[in-house]
Amino acid sequence: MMGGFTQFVPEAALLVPVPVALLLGSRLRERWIAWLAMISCGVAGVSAWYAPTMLDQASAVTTTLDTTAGAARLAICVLAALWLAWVAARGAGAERSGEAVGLALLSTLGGLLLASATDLVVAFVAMELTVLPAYVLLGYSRHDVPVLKGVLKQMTRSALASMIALYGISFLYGLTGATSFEGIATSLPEAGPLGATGAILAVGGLLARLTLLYRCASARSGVAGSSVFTAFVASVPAFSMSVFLAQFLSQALTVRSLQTILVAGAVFCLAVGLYVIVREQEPRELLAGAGTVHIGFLMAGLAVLVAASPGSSIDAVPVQVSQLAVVAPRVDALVIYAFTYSIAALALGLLLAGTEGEGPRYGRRLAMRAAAVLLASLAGVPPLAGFAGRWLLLRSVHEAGFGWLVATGVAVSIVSAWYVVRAALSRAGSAEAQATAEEERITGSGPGGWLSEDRLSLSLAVSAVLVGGAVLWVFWF
Amino acid sequence: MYASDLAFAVLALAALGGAAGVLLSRSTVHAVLWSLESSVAVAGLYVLLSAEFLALAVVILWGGAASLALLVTIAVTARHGEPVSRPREGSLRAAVLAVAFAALMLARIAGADLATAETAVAPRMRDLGEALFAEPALMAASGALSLMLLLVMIAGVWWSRGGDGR
Amino acid sequence: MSVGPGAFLALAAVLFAAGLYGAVARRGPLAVLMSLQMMAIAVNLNIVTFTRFVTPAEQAGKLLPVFSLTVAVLHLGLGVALVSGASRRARSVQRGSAGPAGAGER
Repeated sequence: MMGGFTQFVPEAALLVPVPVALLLGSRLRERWIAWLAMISCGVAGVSAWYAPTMLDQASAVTTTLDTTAGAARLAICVLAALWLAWVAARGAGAERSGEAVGLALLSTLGGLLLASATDLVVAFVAMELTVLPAYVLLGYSRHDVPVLKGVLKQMTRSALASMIALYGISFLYGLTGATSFEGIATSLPEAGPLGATGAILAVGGLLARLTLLYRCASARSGVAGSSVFTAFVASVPAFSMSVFLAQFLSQALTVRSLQTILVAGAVFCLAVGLYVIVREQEPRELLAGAGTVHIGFLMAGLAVLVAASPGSSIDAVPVQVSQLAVVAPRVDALVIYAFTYSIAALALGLLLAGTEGEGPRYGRRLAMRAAAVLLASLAGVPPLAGFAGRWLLLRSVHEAGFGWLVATGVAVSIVSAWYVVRAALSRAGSAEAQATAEEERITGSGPGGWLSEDRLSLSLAVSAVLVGGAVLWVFWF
Repeated sequence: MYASDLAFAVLALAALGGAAGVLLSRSTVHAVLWSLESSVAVAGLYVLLSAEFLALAVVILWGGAASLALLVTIAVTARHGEPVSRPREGSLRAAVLAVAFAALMLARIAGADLATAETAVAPRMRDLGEALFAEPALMAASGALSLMLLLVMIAGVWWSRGGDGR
Repeated sequence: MSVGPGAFLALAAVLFAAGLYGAVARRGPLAVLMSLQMMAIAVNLNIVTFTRFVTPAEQAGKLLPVFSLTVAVLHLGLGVALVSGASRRARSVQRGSAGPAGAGER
C-alpha cells in the first residue's frame, strides 16, 4: 500500500509552495515566491522522472508510470518552471503574482495526475483540476470587465464540453462496468453501438475542451487579457490533456467509427487553421491559427492510435496485445510532437507578453528574430524542433496507412510555413525602421539586465526549439 | 402496475416539467425555482434507484447550496429599478441540435441490449467509503477534488475583492 | 420494480438535450449556468441508473457519481463567482470610479 504513495512525490512537491504563495503572497517578495515554486517544479520533475524506478508496479492500478508517462510528467514540470521563471522577473500583469503562482501550481499538479491516469474517474477529476485554474488565470486581471465577461463565456463553453465528455464516460462506465482503461478495452466490444456512441461523445467532449484552450490565444475569443496567461493555458493544461488523450485512445478505445470521425475532424481543423493563417498577420492571431492546425495534427495522430483492424465488420474490436505494441511508438511520437508545439507556443506567448502593456520591453530586433524562429517552429519549418515533431507524427500516420492524410498534412505545413515566414519577415522589416527611432528607449532595459529570469527562460525555450530538432534527429532516427 | 412505476411516471413528469420551466420562464428567479423543483424530482428518482445517500447529496448540494448561490447572485447583480427578467430568446439551430441529439440517443438506448435485472445489493454508503480508500490514486483524486474547492474559494475572493494591484 | 434501465436512460437523455438547448441558445450567463446544471443532473441520473443495474467490477466506478456531482457544483460556483465579480466591476466603472474599488465597495 505504501509503495503506491511514492508515485505522488511530485504532486506533493508541487503542493508545498501553494499555501506559501496564497497566504504570504502579499508579505514576501514576489520573486521569492516564484523561485520557491520553480524549485518545487524542479524537484517534482526529477522525482517524476525517477518515479517509475521507485515504484512497485503492482500497487499502481489506476495510474501508469511507464517511461512515456514519466517523460511527459517531466515535460509538464519543465513547461511550468519556464513560465514561473518569466513570472519571477516580470510579475503577473498589473496584479500581484502570489495567487497566480498558486493557481499555476494547482494546474500543474492536475496535469501531472492527468498524464499518468489510467482510470477515467481519476482522469476526470485531474482534468478539472488542470483546466479550471487555467480559466481563473485567464480572468486574473480582475479590473478588466470585458476580459471577465470573455472568460465567463469561454468557461461555460468548457463546462459544456466537460458535461458532454462526462455523459459519454457514463455510458462507457455503465456498459462495461469498468472505469479503468484495461477494463473498458476488455468489455467495450460487447457494449454495442451505444458503447461506441459513448466513446465518441467522451473523446469529442475532451477534444472540444482542448480546442477551447488553444482558442484563448486569439483576441476574438474575448479573452484578450495579458498573453502571460494565454501562454500558460496553451502549454501546461493543453499538453497534459494531449498526453491523456493519447493514453486513453491507445489503451482503452477500439471503436472504428471513432477513427473515421477523428480523421474527418483532422482534415477540418487543418483546413480551418490554414484559412486563419493565410488571412492573419498579427502574431497573436497566427498563434491561434497555428493552434487550430496543431489540433488537426493531434487528431490525425490520435486517429492512428485507435487500435482497430480495418477489415473487421463490427464497430468495436477487442484489443490485441500485439496491437498495443504497434501503437506504443505512435503514442511516443504524439507526445514528442505535442511537447515541441507546447514549448514554442509558451515561449511565443511570453515574448508577446513582454512587448505588450507597460513596463520595460525587450529589444525590438532581438524579440522579432526570436518570434520569427518560434513561429517558424510552430509552422513546421525545418530544421527546427517543430518540424522534427511533425515528421515523427506524420511518419506514424503513414505507417497506419493514411497516405493521403500525410499528403494533406505536408501540404498544409508548406503553405502555412510560407505565410507565417512572410508575415514574420514583413513585421521584422517594419520593426527595423521603427527600431532606429525607439532603440534608445527600449533596448536592454529589462529588470535585472541581461541575466534576469525572464530572458533566461525565453532563451532556454528558443534554444530548445533551435537545437531540439537536431537532438531528435540524432536520437530518434 | 407497481407503485414504483407510478412513482417513476410522476417523478419523471416533474423533472421534465421543471426542465421546461427553466427553459421557458422569463423571470430568472422563477427559473431557479423550477430548477430546484427539477433537482428534487431527480433526487426522488435516486431514491427509486436505492441511492439514498446520493439523493440526499443532490438535495443539499443542488437544491440547497446551488440554488441559494444563484439566488444570491441574482440579488447582488440586479440593478435598482430593473426587473429581474429577460426577453424570451430562442434559437432554431440550438433546437435542431438538441432534438437531433435526443433522437440519436433515444434510438441508441432503445436499440441497446441492457441488463434489466437490478443488482442484488444496492450500493451503500459504506461501499463508497471503501472504494475511496481502495487505491492510492483514488485518494489522490479525492485530494484533487478538495484542491478544486480551494480553487473556487481563491477565485471567489480574487474576483470579488477590490485590491489595488501590486 | 418493472421500470427498466431504458426508461431512466431515456429520461436522462431528454433532460440532457433540454440542457444542451438552453446552454447553446441562451445569452444570459445565469441561464447558461442553470442549463449546464440540468445537463449535470441528467449525467448523474445516467450514472446512478448504471450503478443500480450493472454490477461494477471495479471500486473506482462507485465514486463516479459523487465526483461528478461535486465537479458540477464547482463549475457552478466558479461561474457564479465570475458573474458577481464582473457585475461589480461593471457597476463601479459605470459609477465613474473607473479605478480599482475603494472603501465603498466593502
